[in-house]
Amino acid sequence: MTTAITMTTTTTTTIAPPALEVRGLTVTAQRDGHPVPITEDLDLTVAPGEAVAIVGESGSGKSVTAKALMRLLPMGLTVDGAVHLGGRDTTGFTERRMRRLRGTEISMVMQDPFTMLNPMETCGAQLAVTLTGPDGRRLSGARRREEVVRRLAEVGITDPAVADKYPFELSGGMRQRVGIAAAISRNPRVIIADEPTTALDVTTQKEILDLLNSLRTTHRIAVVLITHDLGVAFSLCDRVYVMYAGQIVETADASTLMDQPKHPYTASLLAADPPIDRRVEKLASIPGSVPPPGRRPAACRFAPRCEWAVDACRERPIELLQVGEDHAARCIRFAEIGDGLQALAMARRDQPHTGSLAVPAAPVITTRDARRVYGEKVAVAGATIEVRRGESVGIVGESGSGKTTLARMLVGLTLPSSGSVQVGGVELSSRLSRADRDRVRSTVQMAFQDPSSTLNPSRSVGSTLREALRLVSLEKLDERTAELLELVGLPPDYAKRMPAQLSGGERQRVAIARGLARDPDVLVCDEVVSALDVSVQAHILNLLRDLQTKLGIGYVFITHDLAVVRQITDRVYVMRRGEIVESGPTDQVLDEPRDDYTRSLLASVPSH
Amino acid sequence: MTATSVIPAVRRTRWGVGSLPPVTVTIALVILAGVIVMVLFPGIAPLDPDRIDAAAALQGPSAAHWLGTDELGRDVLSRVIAGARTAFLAPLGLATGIVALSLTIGLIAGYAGGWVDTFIGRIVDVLYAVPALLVAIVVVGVTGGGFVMAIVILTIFGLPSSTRLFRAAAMERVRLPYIEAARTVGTSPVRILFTQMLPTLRPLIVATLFLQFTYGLIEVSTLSFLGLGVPPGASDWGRMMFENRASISANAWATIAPGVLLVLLAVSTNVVGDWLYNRYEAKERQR
Amino acid sequence: MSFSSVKEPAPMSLAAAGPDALDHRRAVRWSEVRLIATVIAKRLLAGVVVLFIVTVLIFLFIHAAPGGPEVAIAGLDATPEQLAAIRELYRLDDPLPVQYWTYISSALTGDLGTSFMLREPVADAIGRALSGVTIPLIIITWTTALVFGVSLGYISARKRGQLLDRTIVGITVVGATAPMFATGLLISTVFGVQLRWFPFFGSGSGGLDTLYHLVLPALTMVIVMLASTTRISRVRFAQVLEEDQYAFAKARGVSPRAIFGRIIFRNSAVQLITWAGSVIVGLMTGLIIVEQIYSLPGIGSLLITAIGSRDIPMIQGITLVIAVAIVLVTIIVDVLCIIVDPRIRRGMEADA
Repeated sequence: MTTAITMTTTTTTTIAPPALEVRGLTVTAQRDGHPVPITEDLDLTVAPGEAVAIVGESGSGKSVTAKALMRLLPMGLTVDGAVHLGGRDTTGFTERRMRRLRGTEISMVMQDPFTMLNPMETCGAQLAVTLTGPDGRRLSGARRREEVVRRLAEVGITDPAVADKYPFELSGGMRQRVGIAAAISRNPRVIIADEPTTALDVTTQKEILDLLNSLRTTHRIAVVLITHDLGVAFSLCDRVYVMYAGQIVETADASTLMDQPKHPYTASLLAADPPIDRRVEKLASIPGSVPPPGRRPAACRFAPRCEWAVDACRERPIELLQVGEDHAARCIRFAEIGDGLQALAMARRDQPHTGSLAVPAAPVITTRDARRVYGEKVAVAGATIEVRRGESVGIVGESGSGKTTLARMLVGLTLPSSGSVQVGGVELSSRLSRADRDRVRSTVQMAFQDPSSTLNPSRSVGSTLREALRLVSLEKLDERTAELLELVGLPPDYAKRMPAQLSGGERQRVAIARGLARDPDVLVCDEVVSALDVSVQAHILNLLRDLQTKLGIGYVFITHDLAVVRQITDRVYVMRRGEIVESGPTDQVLDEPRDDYTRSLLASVPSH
Repeated sequence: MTATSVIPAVRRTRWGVGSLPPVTVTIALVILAGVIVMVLFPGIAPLDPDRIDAAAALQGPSAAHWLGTDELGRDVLSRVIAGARTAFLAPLGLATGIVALSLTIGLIAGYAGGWVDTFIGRIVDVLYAVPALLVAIVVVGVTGGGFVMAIVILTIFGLPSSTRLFRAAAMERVRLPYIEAARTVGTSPVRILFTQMLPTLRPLIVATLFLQFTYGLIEVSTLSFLGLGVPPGASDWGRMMFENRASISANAWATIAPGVLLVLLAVSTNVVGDWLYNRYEAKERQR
Repeated sequence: MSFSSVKEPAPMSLAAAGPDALDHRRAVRWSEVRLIATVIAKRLLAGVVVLFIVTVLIFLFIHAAPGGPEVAIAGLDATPEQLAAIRELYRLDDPLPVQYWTYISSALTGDLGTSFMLREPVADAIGRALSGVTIPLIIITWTTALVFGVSLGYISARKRGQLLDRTIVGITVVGATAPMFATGLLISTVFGVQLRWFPFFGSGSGGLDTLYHLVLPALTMVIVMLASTTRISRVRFAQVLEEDQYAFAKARGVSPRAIFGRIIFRNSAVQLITWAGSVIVGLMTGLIIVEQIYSLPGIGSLLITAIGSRDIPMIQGITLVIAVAIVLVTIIVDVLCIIVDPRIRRGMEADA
């Protein structure tokens, strides 16, 4: 006779293991025979379905971290430390085992949607390559098609024809969606998004961030978002890790970090972000620059730039200290300076609004129905704008809006197909007299976006400036070069340096100096701060404002960033698809937009 | 703001760029120097390269003739040293001519754009497919033309590849901000080409010079080897191989020595040119 | 475009894959086929024009040779009567355009004239040279150089910076540059004369024996072509391996085989196809040298002897054949590139 024995088991509720756990991640490079740490001792935890941000500026090592997590580092870099996926320790996994994990457990989306996809294959084909049926084999034609269309729909692409299109036929936003669909096609636990929206317009950015957010619930995917944009980080993520010079300097949940930062770098970063809701008198910036790997101070990395640094900070390496519940910071003075930091972070919210600097004067540049077409494509469809002496005018728009083309027309780099552009009284055309051309050149000048190619790499800073100065007069070139450099806040001995020796911000200053060499009435700035780190951006914007007061110069400021527009312009034109849809004083346009497009632009900006 | 400044470029090994170890490049430079010495100081030849001595014909290496004599009794070693002249100067002239012309045409085409570019581009595309050496062989062979005609043909048909190179480089640079800035500031187009574009192209020009030298050397010596271009009896390495081939069993050195030197010179200039080109490319990619 | 919620999988997926979509795809493919056909037609037309120009040039050029063709045929010490007789025979007094027309019209029917030196139809001599020696040689060399060159280039690219790669690069630098006649002499002397491993003279007696005779000549040409193919492939493969698309494919777990075929190979295809065409054209020049060194009765030797004997019809015939070959190769390369690279295709559609 058997007695049934019932056993009561007490089930202990087990907490699901974190989707991703990283302990002591260190990436080292080999330079001239000795090891140089790129990132040091990173600890990270991401729960299933959670969204976590790694925020850092250039030189922080954040992108390297992304690749290190997937064990996809380029040759020459080694990685140490433990990476646990879903509770499983992957240290010591062979490449073969790692390959099985990629795509199924952990996946990645990259920054540039154009280079991420294969230009030779249709989107559908690229998506389908990782799809397998329940038996693990590749799917048949019809089934494959069904699956591809379904996956595209999951990321919001409802038109099945997209599957037959090639990446170059799609917009940036669509490509990024296809990329995301491909990355999640095998339902990984974690997706690493390495600056996924940096190359996209702000409206598209919002859509992609919303998409990533929804994937957390529909697919239970944890998201590790790597970005330099605090606003983006806060809009999507629950927790944030702030990186500086290869280390994590602070981590906390988003709202705590925003309101109570406990590390000077975090606070300064928060303060340097230009606010969109008001124009502040002076933007907070961080002096100095990020130390490159190999030249980082052994003790506190941020000390050389920190206003709260004391001797103790420079003595020993600083550990990550617990400063609150679920909040850690790498600062030994967090208790004393906590209030100061909070004040700094809040300052940008509390600073009063200052009015614009412009005094109405005579127009220097006027355009009437300026139009530019390239074959069938209309880049600018009849723009009528005015720029007056001493005022700063913004032209804001997304990609394809025609703002850059318009800017080029104002300077004479591009001639209008029809309509007129008048600069300093001279009507721009292809047949201008020498005197007229000279007048135009001395009236309006331009500074360009990309700091790495705005200066001729084979010529010294001084020679580039002299090249511009000699067109005004051949006398005292060296003196005037030194004056120009001083004007933009650079020491005169920079004239002997080559562009490669300057940082991005310094190069932009030289570019601005070059623009000022001919003493123009208006300087057209084409996205001059867009490629710079936030802290450097603040420097440049302050500089531009100072110059406006000091020299009485006017600006035409081309940008896609509405916060920057708020800070630096007095009037603004909003462009969309070649047309000016709204214009007016900056405060008015940004506070009470009249056009729907302007409204949607404002709504898409991730704010904090 | 990518991390490329943080991650060292894969190919930047300790030895500079590309995969050529410095040993190879050094050896190449040494060989090059040796040839240049022979060109500049033909007097180091022990005997008169053209002195005929029928009695001493086709002898193997000896104390008097380190590399033996050819079928007319001329000292092989002296002829080899004398031959360095044409071997070096002819391709040098060819390369200089090609680089100078293609640079001018390419820059103009790339900078001007528009119909100028299309026009030049079409011509270049058609000529590109034609093998220069083939045309040279046929034309020189049929007309019995001499050295000058060969050089002219090789120049004309050697232009397309370099022109494309310089045109592409110019087109890339035209759109760069610093060139546009120079235009905005008011610098004249000619001055822009000379002072802004040219300096950035210097490494490319030098690398192309070396590589065109290599091709030129191969072409000219092939023509000589086929009996074309160089007059009979000239102490030209290719010609020597052509003339002495029949008597290779008597004195192999008369054929081999010039051959070996040809190969060494060609490989050396190619190595140096390649090395320079890799350095140029790596710098471009770092931008 | 607005982002629709994805709470449920789109129920229209099946319908979307239905007949409408299918028709649309068929329409797209059909228009692509039409495009390619148009391109082929246009290129052929252009090729004909080029050939016309080339033949005119050759024709004029030969008739401009010093003394005129009749001196070339009869020699410098011919009597005026002999010269007149030759002019009569070959109708050299007809106006040039007429002579040209006669030549072209017979060429189109396969009659390329009669060789002065061989006293047989040019077309026959060319045909024999091609099928016996030249074409087998080209095929062997081309296939070997490409297959091994691309493979070595790939291996080199995968292991870039490492010892194997550096060794390969080092060796290929030498191989790619050494002039063919120098390597040819070296190889024929060492392997042929000294070691007696392979024959180094003539083309043997057909079939397997001919192949045996072609080993050394092929080896001579393969060295240069293989070395340069390796270098070109390595450069391109290495470029693709550094691109984001490669990292992305690895990141999402695409199988290595798919990565190679779809990403690495497809993105290098255009360069490789173009290069394969250049190899063929380069081989044509190389043939001349190699056939001289190894005394092979191929089209290269034929050309050299024809040049030496001033055999005008033969020279014209061979240059015509070479020109046609080059034009064909260029057209094939162009068309293949269009087929392979969708960007070129769609770009052309946009212009059309």
